[in-house]
Amino acid sequence: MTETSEQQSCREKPRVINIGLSFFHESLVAQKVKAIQLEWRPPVRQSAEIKSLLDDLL
Amino acid sequence: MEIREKINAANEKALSCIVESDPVWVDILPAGQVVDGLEDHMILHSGPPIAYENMCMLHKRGMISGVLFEGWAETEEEAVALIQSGGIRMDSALNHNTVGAGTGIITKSVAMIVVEDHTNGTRAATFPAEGPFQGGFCGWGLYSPEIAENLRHMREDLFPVIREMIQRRGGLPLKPILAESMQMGDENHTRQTAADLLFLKQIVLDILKTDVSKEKIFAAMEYIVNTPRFFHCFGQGAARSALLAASGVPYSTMVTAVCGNALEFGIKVAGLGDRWFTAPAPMMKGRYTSSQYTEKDQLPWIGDSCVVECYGMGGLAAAASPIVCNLRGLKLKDAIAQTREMGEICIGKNHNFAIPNLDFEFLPAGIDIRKVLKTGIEPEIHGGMFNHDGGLIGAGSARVPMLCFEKALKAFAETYPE
Repeated sequence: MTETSEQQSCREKPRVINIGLSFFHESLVAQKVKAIQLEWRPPVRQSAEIKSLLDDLL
Repeated sequence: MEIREKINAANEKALSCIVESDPVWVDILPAGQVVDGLEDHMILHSGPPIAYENMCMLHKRGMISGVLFEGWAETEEEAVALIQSGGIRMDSALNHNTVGAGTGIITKSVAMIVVEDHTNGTRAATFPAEGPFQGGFCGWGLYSPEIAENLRHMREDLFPVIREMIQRRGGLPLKPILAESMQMGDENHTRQTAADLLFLKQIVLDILKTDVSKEKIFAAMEYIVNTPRFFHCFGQGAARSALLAASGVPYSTMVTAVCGNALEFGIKVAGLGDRWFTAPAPMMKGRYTSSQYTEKDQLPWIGDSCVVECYGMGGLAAAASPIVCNLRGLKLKDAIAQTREMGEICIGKNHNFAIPNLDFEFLPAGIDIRKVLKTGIEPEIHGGMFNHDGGLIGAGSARVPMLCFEKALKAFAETYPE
């Protein structure tokens, strides 16, 4: 029987890209899991008026 | 020239008021002689302007203390009646060339440290801490026979000696002290441990040269040495004098003031002059001085000392002072991350402040309201926590509310409709 990719990934050591909260990245590193942290924050919510002003002024 | 180019040029000019500033301590004078527009029967306070009936208890008490200190009334009841009858004019300290740290109670007879910016040609005055009473009258709005006697002692016994010293030496440049102390663990808002020592080293020989008795010299030195964070008022004076120069630069979107009155938090913007943009005052997060305190004891943000943040100190300089950040449980990498995050909302960097923890990168300076709104990053500022009865109960940080910046940007667009 052919092994699925899911089964294969469960057998291998995980390699993680963590996006957002750095606490998860730190916890994985502490457990000697290979992980990198991607700096990311949710898109900024602006009103249409502020967005339009920023388009003009910045 | 397109408006973006005008703004960018104006912001470079406003930022240069900070970076090229040359603040020098030159004198000690009564507030009535050095604070522009401070008249008789007038009391200044911290934060954006606020009516007496809306003030928190600390500010109300400070107003009464101010009336009693100046002798405009004999009793508290008379003081309240005078205030309620409209006999006292009240204004925000940051509408003048001063800073209202804590409650920021300033009347004409308060002795003020005078700082001149020799590059910008501006002058600011800030009140020194009150020795054993720490915040005392000006910072905490307290008044008692003991505080009154200490203020007299400072004015009549200590300051003449210190004044003779500073005049004899021809002023004391403050930027070298700020710059070196930033490399020694201070962020010069919550912590001045290194600055205090560097300051002392600068003045100790000059004060010994003054033509007064050994006892008077000892008393003056004892006051300086035993007052915690003595240098704080000098840092505020340095920041305020530079920001006064930036205030009024047309088209600039740089923040020139941030402050709170426990009800509202307010900012000013260079290109919008003396207008205020306010939002509800935030609560600070940090560490209390005692486990008996909780958030219920704590006032929302009160005080103007965060004017130093606009100069690039305090929260913007977190990387310089992991010790201060550790009050909030942060590690060195978090302190560095905080400064880097603040860099995203600043106009540029201050080449005077090269920080070892940043591998001698320069600190960011000049908060730009456009970048705050674009990135969604609210400035993180450091400060002291006050309780409802007066007095410091902790230290920490808060984020300047986004609403202040939204209001400011809308006003900017109306002021410069291009």
